[in-house]
Amino acid sequence: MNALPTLRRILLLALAIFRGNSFANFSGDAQTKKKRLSGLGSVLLFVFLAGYFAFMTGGSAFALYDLLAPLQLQSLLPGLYVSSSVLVVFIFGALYALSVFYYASDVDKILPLPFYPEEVIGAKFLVVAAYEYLFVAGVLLPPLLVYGVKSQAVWSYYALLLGVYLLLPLIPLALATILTMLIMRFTPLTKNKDRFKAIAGVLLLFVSIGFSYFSSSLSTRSGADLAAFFSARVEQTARLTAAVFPGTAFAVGALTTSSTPAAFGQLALLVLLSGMALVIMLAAGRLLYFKGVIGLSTAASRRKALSSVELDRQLGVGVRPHPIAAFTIYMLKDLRILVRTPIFLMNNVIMNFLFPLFLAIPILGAGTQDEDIRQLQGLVQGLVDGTDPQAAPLFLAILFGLVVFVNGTNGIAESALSREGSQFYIMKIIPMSYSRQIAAKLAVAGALGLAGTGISLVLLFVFLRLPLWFFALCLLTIPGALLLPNLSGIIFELYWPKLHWDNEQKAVKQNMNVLYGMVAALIVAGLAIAPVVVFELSLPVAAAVLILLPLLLSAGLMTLLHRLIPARMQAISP
Amino acid sequence: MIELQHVSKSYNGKIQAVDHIDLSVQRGEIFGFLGPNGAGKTTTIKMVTGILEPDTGTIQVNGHDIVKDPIRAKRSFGFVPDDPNIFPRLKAIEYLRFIGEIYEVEPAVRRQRISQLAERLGLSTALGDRIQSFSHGMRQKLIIIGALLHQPAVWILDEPMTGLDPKAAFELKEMMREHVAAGNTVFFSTHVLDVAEKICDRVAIIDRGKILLCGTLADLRARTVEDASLESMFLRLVEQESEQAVPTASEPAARKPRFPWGKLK
Repeated sequence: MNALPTLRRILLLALAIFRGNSFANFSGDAQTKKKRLSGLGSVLLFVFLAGYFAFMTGGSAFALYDLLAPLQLQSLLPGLYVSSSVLVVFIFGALYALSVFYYASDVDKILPLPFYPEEVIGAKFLVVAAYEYLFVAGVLLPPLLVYGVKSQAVWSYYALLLGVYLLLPLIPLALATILTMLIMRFTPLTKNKDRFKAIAGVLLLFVSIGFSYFSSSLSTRSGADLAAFFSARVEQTARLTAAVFPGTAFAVGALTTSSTPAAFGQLALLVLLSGMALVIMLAAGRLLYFKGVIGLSTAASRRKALSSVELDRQLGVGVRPHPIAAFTIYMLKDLRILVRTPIFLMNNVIMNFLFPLFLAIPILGAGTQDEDIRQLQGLVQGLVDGTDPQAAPLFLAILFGLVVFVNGTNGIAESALSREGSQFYIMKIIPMSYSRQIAAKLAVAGALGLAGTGISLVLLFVFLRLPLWFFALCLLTIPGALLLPNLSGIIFELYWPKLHWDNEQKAVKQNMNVLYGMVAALIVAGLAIAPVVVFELSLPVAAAVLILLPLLLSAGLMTLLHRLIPARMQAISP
Repeated sequence: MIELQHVSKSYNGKIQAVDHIDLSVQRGEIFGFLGPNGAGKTTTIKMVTGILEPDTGTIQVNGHDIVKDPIRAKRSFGFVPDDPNIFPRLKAIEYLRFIGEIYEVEPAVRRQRISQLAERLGLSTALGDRIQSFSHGMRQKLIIIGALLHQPAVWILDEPMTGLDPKAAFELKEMMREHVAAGNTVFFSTHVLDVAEKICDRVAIIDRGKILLCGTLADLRARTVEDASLESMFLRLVEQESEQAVPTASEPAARKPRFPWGKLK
């Protein structure tokens, strides 16, 4: 086979795959103003998040450099960030490869086309690599640019950094792709693809938590402790990644010896190794890809008749008719879809339970030396022994804000209509009022929100040993804290539902309503905490404000919804 | 059972999908709604079922206005859409329980009907499986079971034969006949003129949002050409309508519109 036509076909296919995502739609065939605005929103959101991420990683490098420079350990920083990037690319790459190579909706469209497996793998690799480059731009570039500036590096450092940035993702991504292809070809794990995707997603979450814990514990170390930590852990990690991912050592070497001509030699070796990795991956793709991907889109089934008893049980025969049976079954339907759809499970359900953990990590990772932690401990102590009259109202406001934030960010209400997608028409044809259907969706969001925040609150109270009366007071604030974000989320959905998607991911991950919900929750949380701090409200006043005001606002939103729902639902065309 | 009066619908105020149509479907008849692609069949059905709201006119299903009294109107029909895309993550039995509860069908009754219909359509062994594992035809069958679960007075189907195997298609036609024999109504759109010819009591032909013809096959033949098949009548009408819609140099746009039945009689 001629390499050049193959390369051209790979690029053509990659371009076609790219056109299927939102950024491509924004720049390419966005036909309507609404689509353009939505695309613009996605880009703005991406720029905002990337900027925030770059600020965080760059900031951490800034602080670490200042800590390490007196110990003459600053030259370890390129190793730290290169190793971290390689690990991140590998872990995320494996999951990206799984979804892009095997579970993407375009797989069934590409398979009948006259492409060789290595061409499909090559094109999809480019797609995954593009995501990885964006990601690595946040993890690697800001800290190493900071390192360059702080260490007064010469121009060759920046040229080498660009080269390292472009080459670094290729080897770990190629290895992740090969590993994914091996798993998909030879293991029975993939029989139930929903379960497999959910497990992979949960693993990714735990890896993220691990990274978050690692970085928060790193940033709070100081002096000799940090030196010991670096010599023990960072070098060990760098050695490990260099052994597993060939080329890492050349990347680090190129950056740390950037003022010498040997640095370019190291980069050349990285080019050579990356090229070899790509060739091996394409060859592996030729052998493994089609055998693993063909037939994957068909879901497993038992095709076994249900027994008479099972049929009775499933259809509720013998169960006394209940006046709210229709409402309950509607809730159950929504809940089943949320839990059984991997992407909804990850983004809406599990995040709802894990988000408090993400918030707790900086606290747990920071340890007792951190100033903020000491303040928090002082606040709790003041609350428990009653010595600080401001402690209880402030803590109450913080917990209220937390519940609002968790419920505003889980995206359950904010994607309640979007998740229906092309099945939205069912909401229109069934003999159940729109208000009742929306109420059932709100009940699901509320129940999951209550479960998520409830567990977190109980753990928090047990962990901090807060008094029972305070726990009871917190419980009283929960109804308002649950209602406000969920009601506002539904309003966003009624105006801007994202019903036209070909991939469930787009219903939640590329849905601006989830972002609006997040912003609204942040504002409400801020508005709850600010008056308590600014006006130094007493506990009874703070409690009254935090219990009654959200309920009153929620009542207002409910009245608004009551009027809004029939008209808006009628106006939405599936 | 279904009454449409002066019903219109346009998309974005530009494309006139349905243009002031009147239609009356009676109790005890199978009514076929025919037309080429993009003629306005699905838009009309979407308005009848409450998925879309008409710009003008009124629609009554079983005596209930779909806009003013939607819940009662929706209770009186069962709908089979052209795309059988339903909750892929639910099991078939869970979907049917959902429909049974929403339409308030007694548990024992729903149990008996589901068993009966599933057996008839060959879906008994798949009830415990997730819908995502179903083929197009199996999903279609499941929706048919769901649509008939509450024994609706009006059964509305949009292109129901698509994806069905010959046995299931035969069963579906039988079920339509049985449904009207029990005093109900069947209203369905189709491209398969052969099916319409065999089972419909009356048909309407729609093109470019307008009803070109409406009546029994005998009526239509009397208005067009004696002994003509439905297919030839259909093709002739649609062709004629296209000629009118695309004026040529010899047929300027100012030409007076022709009404097919007036011209063909």
